[in-house]
Amino acid sequence: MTATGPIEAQEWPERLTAHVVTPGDDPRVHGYSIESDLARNYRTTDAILLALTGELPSESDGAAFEIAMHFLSATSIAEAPAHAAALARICAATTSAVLATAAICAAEQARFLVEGHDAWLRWIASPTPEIPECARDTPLVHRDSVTRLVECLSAKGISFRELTLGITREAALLAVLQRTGLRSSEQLQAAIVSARLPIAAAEALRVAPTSFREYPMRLPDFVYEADQ
Amino acid sequence: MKKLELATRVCRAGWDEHEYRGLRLFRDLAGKETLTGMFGLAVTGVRLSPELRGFLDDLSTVVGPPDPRIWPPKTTRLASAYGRALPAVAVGALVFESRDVGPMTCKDAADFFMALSDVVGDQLGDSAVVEAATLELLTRFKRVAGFGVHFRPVDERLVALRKCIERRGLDKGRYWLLFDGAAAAIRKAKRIEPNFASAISAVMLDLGVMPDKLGLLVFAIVQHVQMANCVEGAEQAPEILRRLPDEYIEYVGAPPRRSPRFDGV
Repeated sequence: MTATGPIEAQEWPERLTAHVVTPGDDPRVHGYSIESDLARNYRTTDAILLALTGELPSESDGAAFEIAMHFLSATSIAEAPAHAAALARICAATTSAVLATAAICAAEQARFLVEGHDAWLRWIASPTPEIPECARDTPLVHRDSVTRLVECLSAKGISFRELTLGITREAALLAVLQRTGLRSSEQLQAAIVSARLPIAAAEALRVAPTSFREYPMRLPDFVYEADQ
Repeated sequence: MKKLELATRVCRAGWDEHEYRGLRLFRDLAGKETLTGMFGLAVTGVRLSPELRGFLDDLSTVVGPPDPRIWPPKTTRLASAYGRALPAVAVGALVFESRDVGPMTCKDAADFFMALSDVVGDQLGDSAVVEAATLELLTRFKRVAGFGVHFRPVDERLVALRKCIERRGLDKGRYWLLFDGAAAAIRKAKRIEPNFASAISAVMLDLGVMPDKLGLLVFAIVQHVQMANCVEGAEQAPEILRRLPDEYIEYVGAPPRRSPRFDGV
């Protein structure tokens, strides 16, 4: 056997490519200094939008994105990211493992949400008379929340026609994200995880490690069915 | 409140015995089943045949290589750079949530062979039919998982696995023969060699594994490929992987610029 293989036989780049952040002690995001420009003049949500789109948002896009991120952030213990992270905490997993559990589940939750609204996202880009079923709020269970979203946006002088079409809360939030420049599935998923991770983590970190007796073991109850 | 329930066919914990996949864990499995068999039971829900178990054992030895310079193992080196192995195991698993790299590609390859089997029907012995059917399906599938070998002329893992398959007499099955026929057709038409994912898929289809279980079963068997790097990575916890020196980074993004709100400080 030789001491070389396919890896040695190829030419490879010698350096790792950075597309967003400059290395070094004065980091820049897409060219803007974080420490002497962005940190002084922009919201964190503006910086997230900048990171994901490559450009600083307009005043209205930044405001709409911030509102959408607020609405998206509230992931309760009822939802899998916080629930799974809380279980990791009960198991006395390290804080990093609890956070990683929340992050993985939040990323899966975001993927599921975005994939499930593919037809809606395409509809926004190219509307037709009929709203895709995945976006329709029937019965109108999300109307109040969407109304609050519309009011928040309206207070900033922002309105999106899609939000008045009787759509679900999730469809409305995806529409706002897309309107602020997040066009791709990847961008949308990244923004949603950014919004949800802190609160999912916070909920989990309030749980006492090894508090096994306080956890509802039978919620839901798994009923075993032998199939062999 | 209405009681919330879900069905499970995995397990029910008892006092002194546990039901698992329709079996009794201690009575039926303890001291009797192998690690490979337990992985198979976990993924497929049924006990593996000795033939499939043996094939998976062979597979576990030819998979890889876990050279830490290769992309998937490298992720575990980065995740373990802070001194813990288990986060790297999780990262090493997630990197395979991919339809282009790793065990999950076997599902797509299996789908191709099942479609090929339908088209070929009872004319498996006619190489011209297999060739024509393969080429027809290539247009339908656009990209066939399990074909294409990066940076080397042939997949050395497939060469090694083929010997194991022949040694076990698993080279007579319908899907294996379809694999061989398709490989010849694709080699002739596209000059593309098969990689071992397509061979794995063919043998496992012959051994009765359904495509939707195939990728996870292969993943379960080959986890050790990532594990070695998780362990050594955590032991080394090297500074240079936590942060590469700046001179090894090439920035190609937007040039330095000032925002409209920049106040000149």
